[in-house]
Amino acid sequence: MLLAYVLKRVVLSILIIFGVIALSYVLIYIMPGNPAYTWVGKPKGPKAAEAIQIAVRELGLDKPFYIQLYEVTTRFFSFNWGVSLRFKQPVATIAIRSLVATLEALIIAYVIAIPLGILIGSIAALYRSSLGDKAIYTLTSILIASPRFWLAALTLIILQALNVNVFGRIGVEYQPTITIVTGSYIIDSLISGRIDTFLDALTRTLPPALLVSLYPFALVVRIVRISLSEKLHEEYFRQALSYGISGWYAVKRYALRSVIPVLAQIMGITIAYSLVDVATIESVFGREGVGIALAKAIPYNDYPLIIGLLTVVSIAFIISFTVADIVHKLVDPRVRI
Amino acid sequence: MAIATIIVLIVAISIVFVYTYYITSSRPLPSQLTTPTPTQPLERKEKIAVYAYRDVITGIDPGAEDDIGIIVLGLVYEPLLYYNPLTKEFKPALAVEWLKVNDTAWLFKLRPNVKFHDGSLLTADAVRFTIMRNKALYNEKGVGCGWIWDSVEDVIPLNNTAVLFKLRYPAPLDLVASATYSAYIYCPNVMKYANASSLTDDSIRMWFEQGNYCGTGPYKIVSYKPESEVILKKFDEWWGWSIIDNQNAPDTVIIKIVEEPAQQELGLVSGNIDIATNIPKTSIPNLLRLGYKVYNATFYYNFILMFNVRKWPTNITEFRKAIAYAIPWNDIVPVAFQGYGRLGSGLVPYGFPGHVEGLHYEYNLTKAKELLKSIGITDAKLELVITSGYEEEERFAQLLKASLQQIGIEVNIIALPWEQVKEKGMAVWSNLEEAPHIIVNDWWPTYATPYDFLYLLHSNNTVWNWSGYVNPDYDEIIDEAFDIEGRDYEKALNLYVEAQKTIFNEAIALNLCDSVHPFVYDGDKIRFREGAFNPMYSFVIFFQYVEVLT
Repeated sequence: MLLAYVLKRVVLSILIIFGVIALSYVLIYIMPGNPAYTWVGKPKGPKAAEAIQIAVRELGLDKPFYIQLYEVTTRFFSFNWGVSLRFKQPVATIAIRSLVATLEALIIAYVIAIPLGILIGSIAALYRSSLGDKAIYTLTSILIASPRFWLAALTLIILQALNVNVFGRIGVEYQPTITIVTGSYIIDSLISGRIDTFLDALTRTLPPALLVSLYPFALVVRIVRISLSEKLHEEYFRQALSYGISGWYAVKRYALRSVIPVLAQIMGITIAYSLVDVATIESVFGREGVGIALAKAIPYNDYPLIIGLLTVVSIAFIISFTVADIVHKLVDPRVRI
Repeated sequence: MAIATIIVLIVAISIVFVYTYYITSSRPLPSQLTTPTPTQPLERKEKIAVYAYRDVITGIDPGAEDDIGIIVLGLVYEPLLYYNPLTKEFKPALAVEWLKVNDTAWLFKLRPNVKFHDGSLLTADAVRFTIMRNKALYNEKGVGCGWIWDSVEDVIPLNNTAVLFKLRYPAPLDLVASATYSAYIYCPNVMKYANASSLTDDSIRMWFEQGNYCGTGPYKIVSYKPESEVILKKFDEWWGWSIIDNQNAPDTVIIKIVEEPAQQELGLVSGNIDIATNIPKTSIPNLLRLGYKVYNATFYYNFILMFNVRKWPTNITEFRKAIAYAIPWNDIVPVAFQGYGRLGSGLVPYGFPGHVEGLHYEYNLTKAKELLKSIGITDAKLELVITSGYEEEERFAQLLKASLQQIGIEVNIIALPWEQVKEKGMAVWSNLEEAPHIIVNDWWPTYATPYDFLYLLHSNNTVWNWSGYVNPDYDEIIDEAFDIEGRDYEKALNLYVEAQKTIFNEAIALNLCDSVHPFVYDGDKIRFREGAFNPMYSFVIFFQYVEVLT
């Protein structure tokens, strides 16, 4: 059964990635702008026009569209992602380092959002209709509705006023102190044994991560609150209470288990949304990441990089969906994946 | 359960308190920076300078790069000579002596004991290798600016430190050797490092573009992320350290790519950026009040408005002249450029060889209306293409739109990313319908020849001649001037002036402004020595002449 699941996922992943590549290339193809101009740079002198023609040939842009699409797709599936037209570096290198920078904030965001959301959601469910529950409900409504880019700008200004430096991913004075291994300054600083650098990188990551966490946090609170409220009225829960088991223990031991599968599924989808969210927030905080790299690639028709970035994002989605399924299965053995 | 919750809460609150204490106590106020106390957790061991640039690095192959990569190349590599057109002085770099033997032969004596970053010595062979590769790259692929070496027939190493340039035709080789692009000398070992089989092998370019380097400059690359930042470290074996004696030169230079002007300002104020190139000009007075300093750098960087001479109605000379008279010339520098510029005259910028004074139109709406009346045009709709994100162009476009409205001409402003601007400009030759009536191009030269600016309107130049202008007489004048530069420089300059008058009289293209570029910096930390800027090398800060004071 596990093998069937893995096979199904692999096939689905290939289809999704193929769809991403095909759709991206079609959009780039119909977009204004010639990728050859980006590749060739600013050719000058008598050979300038010839340089553009050579670039068109090198990129295969003189071939029919279906052949271009075929070549781009097969190249990607043979793990030859090519070179960024604008940055002249291997696409895989740029895509992976951008993803690492994005995940640095995203993972922290979810590490904060999920446990905190479960805790607050449980409190709201246990004390339903109390003042605290109403306050939590109102707060989560505000968090879900607030535009994160605006909150990001506001947070940055406030922290700036408080003399807390959170611009960029790492302080310049710390930059030369660490050896880059993973591309994540938080991890690399620990590998290099630099606690000061670690704290600096963490300080700069926390505010954007907290902002990214707002939406999943609010969502988790809402889901836990509603799902748990229903469970609290069920027979088995009331019976547990009648045996003298405390409400918190009963929630943790029995009720929450039944909420987690729903939560896992929703979180799988929410991560996709948060990836978009983090792209806008990292821009405000002057951080690198997938969003920034995409914003620099799109206006220049840098199609290898655009496709590469979208592919790594798709892979991240697929992984998050898969993890959600596995969590579902682990928590509820009745589920067939 | 309740006790456990309370313990967890206490621990969490304690962590938050300790963490908050850390982040507030470890970030000293600017005023505290100069008086470090023993309790400060960090001591700055290195002198670091952070330079924010507004655009991504487009490449670092010294033989192929022709754009923004110069801000890195200028620190990692060196040419044979540097030239400053303002002072008309050459400055020895890798060559210490040079001599024009005759019209077609130049001798360069190299600086002895200069080391490349890989430890190998600079030799005449390295000079030959560089120039031959740059020429081959251009001739085979049109890549880079190898055309500057067109006059060179051969480069003959006489011994390890002397090299003879044999020319096909007379050329000012001292100017060529001090070019902004394709004149940086690099080591022949790159063939080995890149496993290349020929001079034009793509593997050499890819080797460079992955962040590798092998020059002689004062800095070497330790991290290269062209989309976000480049980190450079001092090259201790650079020949020049003992000569310039700058103990405060930065050990590390970080070039950060910060596209948004507001973010550059934020980075500067927060101390994450030391030198910013693209602060909103309206913010500069406030930053000056806060104690920041501004260095106004003059580069030969101008903004040229080009009329499409192949499309109605800008194909009519009187119409173009009417537009030229309707441009609010007196507002361009103070409003569009916020005071950071000099009104353009001719096509060649001020201070550059071939510049001519007084060759600009004046704002005269009456005359503009008369010209329109003379050709029977009472109203028209024009497309104006500018580069998005260039605040000067955006403000100019608004000025022009408002002014032309007064003479019955409607302007549709189209702001596009640079590559799309280029495509629109080139459309004048291939797809006239797509080409706009007016387009603004920004330009800086490859080497100190007026031909660089005037070739913009040569009929052979279907890549940059966005006017679609074809005038064999004009072509002949500038070609002749270029040909005789090596023999009769004064006559060549006169011909270049004549060519500019032709363009002015026909109102083909107008130099709006020779821009002055404000570098806003933290004066408490950064000090620029003489030599930190050279107008010929746009946006390069020669950090060996920069002092980091804290």
